[in-house]
Amino acid sequence: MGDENEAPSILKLPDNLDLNAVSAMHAQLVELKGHNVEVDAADVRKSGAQCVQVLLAAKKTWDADGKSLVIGTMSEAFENTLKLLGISGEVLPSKETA
Amino acid sequence: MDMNEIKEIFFQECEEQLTELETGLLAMNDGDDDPETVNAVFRAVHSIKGGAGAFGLDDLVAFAHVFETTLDCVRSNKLDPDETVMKVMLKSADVLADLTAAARDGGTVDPARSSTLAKDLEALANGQPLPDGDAAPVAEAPVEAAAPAPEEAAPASSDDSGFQPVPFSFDDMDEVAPAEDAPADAADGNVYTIEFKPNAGLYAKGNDTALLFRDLAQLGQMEVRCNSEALPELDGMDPEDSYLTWSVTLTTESDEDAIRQVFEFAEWDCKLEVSAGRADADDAGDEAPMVPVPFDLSMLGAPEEKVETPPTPVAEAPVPPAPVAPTAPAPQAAAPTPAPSPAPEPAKAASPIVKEPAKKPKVAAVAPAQQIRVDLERVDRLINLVGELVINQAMLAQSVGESEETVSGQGNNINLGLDELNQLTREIQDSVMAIRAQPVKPVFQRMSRIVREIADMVGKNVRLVTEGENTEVDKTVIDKLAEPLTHMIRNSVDHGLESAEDRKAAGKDPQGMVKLSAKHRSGRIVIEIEDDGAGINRERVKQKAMDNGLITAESNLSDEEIDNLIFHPGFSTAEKLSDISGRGVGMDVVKKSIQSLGGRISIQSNPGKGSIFSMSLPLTLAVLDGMVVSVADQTLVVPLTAIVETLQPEKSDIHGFGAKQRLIAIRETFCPLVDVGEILNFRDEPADPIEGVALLVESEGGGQRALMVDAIQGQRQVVIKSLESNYSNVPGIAAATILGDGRVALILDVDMIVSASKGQSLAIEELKSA
Amino acid sequence: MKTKVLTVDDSRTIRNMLLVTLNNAGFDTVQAEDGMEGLEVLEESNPDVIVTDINMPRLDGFGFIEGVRQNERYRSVPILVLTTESDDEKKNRARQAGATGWIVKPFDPTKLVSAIERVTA
Repeated sequence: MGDENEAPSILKLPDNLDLNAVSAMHAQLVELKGHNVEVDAADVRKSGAQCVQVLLAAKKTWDADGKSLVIGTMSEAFENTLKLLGISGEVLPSKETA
Repeated sequence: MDMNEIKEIFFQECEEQLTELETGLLAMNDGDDDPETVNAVFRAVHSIKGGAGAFGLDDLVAFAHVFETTLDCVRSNKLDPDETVMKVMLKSADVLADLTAAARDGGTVDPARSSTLAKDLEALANGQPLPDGDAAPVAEAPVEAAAPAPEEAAPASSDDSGFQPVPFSFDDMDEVAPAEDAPADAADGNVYTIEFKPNAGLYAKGNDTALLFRDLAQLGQMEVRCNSEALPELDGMDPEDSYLTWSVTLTTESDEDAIRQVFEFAEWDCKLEVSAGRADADDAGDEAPMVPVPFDLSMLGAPEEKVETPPTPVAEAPVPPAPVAPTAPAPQAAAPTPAPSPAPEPAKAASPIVKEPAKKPKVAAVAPAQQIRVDLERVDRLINLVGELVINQAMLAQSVGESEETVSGQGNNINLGLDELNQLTREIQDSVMAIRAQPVKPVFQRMSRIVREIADMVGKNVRLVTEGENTEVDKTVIDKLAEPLTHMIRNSVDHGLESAEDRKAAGKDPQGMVKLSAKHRSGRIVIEIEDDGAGINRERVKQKAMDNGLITAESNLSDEEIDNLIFHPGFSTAEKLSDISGRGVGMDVVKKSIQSLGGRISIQSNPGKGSIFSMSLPLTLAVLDGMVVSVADQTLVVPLTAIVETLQPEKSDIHGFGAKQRLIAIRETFCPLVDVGEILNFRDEPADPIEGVALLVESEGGGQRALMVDAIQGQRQVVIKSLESNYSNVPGIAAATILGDGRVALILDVDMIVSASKGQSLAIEELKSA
Repeated sequence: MKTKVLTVDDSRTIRNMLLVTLNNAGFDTVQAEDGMEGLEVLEESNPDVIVTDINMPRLDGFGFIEGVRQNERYRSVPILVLTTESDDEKKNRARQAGATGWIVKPFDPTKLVSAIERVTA
């Protein structure tokens, strides 16, 4: 866990996180396992439960690995989705709160 | 576009749908059992109903609804479309047409008629026998006869199941949270706990929990708790499956139904429990804390702004999301180490997520054959311009011809080019004319209704056979065809066909046949109406003609001449019957309207076998085949269709008659001679017939006149230019044209010339005996 | 960015009503006359949401929805069906084919718009 300070890899989310995009995101996260990751949700226009679900699963995995996974900048739309789905900063920390 | 325009479109569309409907029903009537035919019929009615509903045309909706229900039974093979059924269907199609017309033009439809049929339709749909005697004529009176109170227009017992005057409801969405409702901020209101467990199908159908909760949030104050217990680790999850469940506490003034309404679209793809009160606090602790969602709802709909780009140097580990087939493994799976991977090139060029330039796809529809709708005015302007082009080309050809000697050497090239121009001009002209051409189908289809109605009225069993409905002719011609055709069809059913008993006695099929056909023949359209009736009763015709003073007892007429007497004005007046509209209307009227279209009509009759009426019409009214003649130094054009033959009169052929009139002997008969120059006031003194040419023309009464002109210049196709738009109507002149040399030539109105010369007319026989 | 709606209906009347209603509500619209054409223009029109009729020639609404769902890229695009009545059997079939929701004809403009908003972000 000494690499907690390693610069995080940025995972940039597309504007439309539909089923296809969520699958792609999942695959990318699998690739990034073992690295600190900062999710950039600045461009997200459409998102939903399935994207949140993948992020939560990733968070679980990252926590187990002792790596950090934080949400960096996020669009209002993305923030709204998180709120609507009851995802608090504790569950999925944003960069500022982390 | 406003509502009125859309309404107009709706009625246009109704016309098309009604045509579809009738075509389909007639095909079914002829034994077509293709499911697609039934489907098309169903769709037509369904579509009319849909549009009518949008405009609140309740009568139309109500009738279409019953009709549709019965058709649906046929479609699903619950009802066999036998003769009785088809008869009701066809009549229903007529009523639907009337209701549509009434909705468009105002007016009403005999409520008894529509309600009787509606009951019949219902009975059929319910597998019941028709109310007594109901293959019987539905309407004794024509539609317009009864003018009942409009509110009675569809009294078909609204209490009957399946027949509701207003069959639509907005209920499905009525309870949906009205967006205006501000979230209930007051403490009062009920508290509900909603347990929501979506399955993967919800997401697969494009719905989302977030969307549902967004709607839910509008009902009041909402706290959401997400349960991720079932969520596996990243590796073991299927990103398209559903693992999360939610528990929502909603404080709202709405009731449970309103809550369930929010989940309307989701109902099959989730487990939903709505209960009053707060969830047990017990299981609250284990998972995520409740997140209240009282945030600003307005921003939900607002376009999101992009937050400034992340400060982290992107070059280090840019992992742009790559488009991936969901089932396929990650594209960069081959990368040996999960190190900051090189930016995966956006693999496939047509990667779905890459935004395309907002290319505007065509808005107009791509139907089996592509079509556009064009304002008729534009087409006419084009036709006009092409007319100018034709004239211009002719003028050019003429002036080149005149100066050919001087150009000598280059003349060949010029002529070659001119020939090509000529060819092109002709092709352009033909193509432009084709734009206005339409199949006669719609008119033919209207006739099937005419046949049904009159057959009902006179109690005959008649089958209408149509042929060549796709034959095309200029729209103007089509528009003017309906009336004469209607008369002739009625005439054929009423007078031409015998009663069923007589037919049986004559060894014929008790069902009579009327055949309506169209075909192209030498640049014209020929329409024939054939019946297999008794043919023309020549003795009766002769008797009637004598009674009416058209011929004398001594007249020795050929069969053909006798048959043609029916076209004589005043022939049928004696037999005018008022009970059937159109019955007894003189065939002279028919003939006149055909002639006004530049057409001719003739009859062939075969006693005991039937009659054939043939009409020959020009394909377009914009050009005309004419004979160019000179009269008193003027150039005139006489429509070729009017000319029977041309004669060079001998002195011995000309006979004086009365003070000024002259007759010309043509073979066995005498024909009044009309001096065109004189009648048009081109000259004061009559010309010498022997120095001129006589054109034998046919006039409306079947009689003939010899029009005297000075000389014939030739025959050509001319482009008609209406005089009325430039000058006032000139008696004796139908229109004008411009000839190749730039001269304006007037087109003679033969009928008018002939009727202006009336008074010279005498029955041929009287002359003979004189 | 405006939400883009693909409308599929064989009735010119309904297509025009949809067009006017949706344009007034600030949506971009693309029209198709039947399911077949709907599938043809799907890619180039790239809709955010689809509104389709059921009874159509050539390819009906059910077939159209199935076709959209088989398209890798649009398999999760929201699809609303227009049904003339609240006909449960039709709704069910539409759901089986993959429809997201439905709109009952004759549609009320505000209801149409709110139904679309319900399924679009």
